[in-house]
Amino acid sequence: MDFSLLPAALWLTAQITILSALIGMAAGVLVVLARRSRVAPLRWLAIAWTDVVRGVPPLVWLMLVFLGVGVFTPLGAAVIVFGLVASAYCAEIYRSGLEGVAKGQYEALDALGIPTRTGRLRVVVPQAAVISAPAVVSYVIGMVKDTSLASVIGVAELTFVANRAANRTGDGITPFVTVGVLYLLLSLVLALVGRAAAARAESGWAA
Amino acid sequence: MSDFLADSVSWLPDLLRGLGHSLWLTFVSLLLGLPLGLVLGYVTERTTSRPLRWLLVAVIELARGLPALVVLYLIYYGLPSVEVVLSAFWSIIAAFTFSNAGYVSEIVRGAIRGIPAGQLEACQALGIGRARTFASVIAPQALRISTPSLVGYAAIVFQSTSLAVAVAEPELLNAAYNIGSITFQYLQVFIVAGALYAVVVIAASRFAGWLATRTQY
Repeated sequence: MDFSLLPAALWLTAQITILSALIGMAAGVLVVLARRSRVAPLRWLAIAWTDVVRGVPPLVWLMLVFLGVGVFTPLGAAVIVFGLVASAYCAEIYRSGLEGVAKGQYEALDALGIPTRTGRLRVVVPQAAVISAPAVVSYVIGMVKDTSLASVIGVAELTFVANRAANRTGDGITPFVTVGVLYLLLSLVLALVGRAAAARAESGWAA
Repeated sequence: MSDFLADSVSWLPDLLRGLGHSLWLTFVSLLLGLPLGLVLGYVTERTTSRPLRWLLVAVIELARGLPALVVLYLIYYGLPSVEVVLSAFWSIIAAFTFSNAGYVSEIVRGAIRGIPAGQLEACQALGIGRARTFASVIAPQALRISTPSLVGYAAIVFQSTSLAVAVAEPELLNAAYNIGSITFQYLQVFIVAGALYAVVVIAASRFAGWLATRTQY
């Protein structure tokens, strides 16, 4: 196989992962805000969003957005789909993070007469973020693997390049073992970065 | 709108046949993956041999860390190089069983840790053998603790059967894709197929949630 194609493919895999993780983490905040809103229809919308987005396989979303909607490039469709799927999963992670903040914290805010908005932003959210961080990190690491599905709609990332090499050379072992190792390495790097970031966030907020 | 409904109804027989095959793939890969994962999880958790534990942890991490699609391609396109030719069906089952066993063993390891140590000590004190301890004491409880997680996991396995489209196995997504490539109504057919997936997955996760409230102890 032609190993010179791998760096570009690896970069594409990393790009899809990072871009859609950023979209998902940001959009997840909106979804969880809607989920905890006082307005009932907003809550229903958020529940429907998380259920439907997570209930349909990512590969079906990819084909629906790429072939069905038909206006996106393969890369654009992949980033949108993985970003939207991540928004649903991140919202659920944030939600359990918010629920994990001790009740006493809310009571303390009331007792001290701290305004609701200030209390939420400066006391509840930082703690929820620290609780959620490890789950977000492991979700993003899992996304690395999911991006392999983008090969099916023609994004020239790792799995796509391996698949083409296997078809051309007739050797199906070298390409897939090689990209398998690259996926593991990429997950490992993300795990180390994520662990460092989570530790930093925790110490930063605790201080 | 009425066109959409009429088209959808005319596609349903093909799509439902595909759905049936997706469910069959889910069933067979769980049938093989669950017992394998249970034994793998038990041996990894209980073995006293360090090298064996490391080896099994490495296998589990590999199964969980590699994209299922890469494993599937490796089996389907790679194994023929060493004279092992599996059909698309058995390649999928082999790939899914491998990743299932990894995930199931993690769920089971968690459940085994949840069984009070006193029960194992009691088995030892009563002179009950290791195999019997596993079969009559650990397995039933570990399964009970992990059932909600396993049902949730089964829903994920069902979703991942859509990967089979990559090796042209006639499951639900493949059926939808074929209809789309004939009618060019990709958007409509993927919406109908997506809805079929979602109905099964949402029903299964609601069931898992209900089981979780019932089996807590």
